[in-house]
Amino acid sequence: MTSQAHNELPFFQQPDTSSSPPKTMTDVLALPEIERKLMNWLMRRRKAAFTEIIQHLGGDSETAQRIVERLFQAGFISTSEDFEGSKDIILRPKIMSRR
Amino acid sequence: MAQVISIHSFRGGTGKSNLTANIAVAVANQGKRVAIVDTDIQSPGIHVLFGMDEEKFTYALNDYLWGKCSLKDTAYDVTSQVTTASGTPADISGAVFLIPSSLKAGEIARVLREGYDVGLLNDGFHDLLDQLQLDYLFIDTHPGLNEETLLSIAISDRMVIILRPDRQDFLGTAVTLEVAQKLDVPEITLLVNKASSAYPRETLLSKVKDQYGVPVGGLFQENEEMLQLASSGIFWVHYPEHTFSKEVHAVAHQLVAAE
Repeated sequence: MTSQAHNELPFFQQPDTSSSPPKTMTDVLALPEIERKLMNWLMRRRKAAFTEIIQHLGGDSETAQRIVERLFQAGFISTSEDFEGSKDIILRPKIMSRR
Repeated sequence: MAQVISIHSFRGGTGKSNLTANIAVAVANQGKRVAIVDTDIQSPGIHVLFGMDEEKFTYALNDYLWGKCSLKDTAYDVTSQVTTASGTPADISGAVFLIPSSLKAGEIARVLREGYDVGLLNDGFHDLLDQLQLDYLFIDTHPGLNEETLLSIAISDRMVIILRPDRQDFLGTAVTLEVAQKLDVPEITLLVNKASSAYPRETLLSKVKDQYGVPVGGLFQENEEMLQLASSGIFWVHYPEHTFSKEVHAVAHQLVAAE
């Protein structure tokens, strides 16, 4: 599996979530099972490369991209600040303790 | 590999902080390096069991959350503050660190009002595991299910739920377990505390296990000595031969054996 550069991925552009409330753990609980399970896994790891996420989700990169994109656009995850220079996107959970 | 263990109860008054402190010190007494984080930001108190008062804190967890210090700066080595009934330091073979929460009303209100970045706390815990070379990080939480307790469940390798043999606790524990399972907690242990000596131990253990289908790690009976100690120390260090103390060690051994 080749690692993808961050600018090849459609979800790289940070969504405008300025008007929406930050996501909390209650929002994580309300996610569909596959997304919730990915968030649970990410919360315990703290961060993961996109290629690791593909692997975690069974190796289907299209499915992984769809799930990650949904979470990214909804504001549940963000690209890590330390991805600069990396060959792969690093994704982190983006959860606040309060709205 | 270091483990993060969160300790929960659905309702207050279960003796959660007391059991957390006792079990953490018992694990340390097996030569382990442990830290206890008081994430009960709304009603902190576990520091009292280690004889600490607010004036002795330079920093608390709240300071870390507001970017005033590193989480390591908020960790106090309380190993030598664990004392026996005669007031002499207990001979603990490992190390115990405590990360207290602030008792200042303004600090408590700020966290509740503004919230904090969950990632920051999660990163801080893992930095602490590395920097203090910890074997175990115990998270003492606020009773019930709120955003903070959900967070600590979500980042834990193991969750310990404390309940009393009480109908309200039984119902609440079922809810907590349901949430823990939704958050994919790898290991869950139940501890029954404040049991009446009128109930046969094995009957109660088997009833709880059957009810939830989750292992019951220990059963602790109410006792007069605990009331007399009144949170002024670590019970098993004061009463090493007490049945309660033996149960604390049994639970600590289970946790270490499960590594």
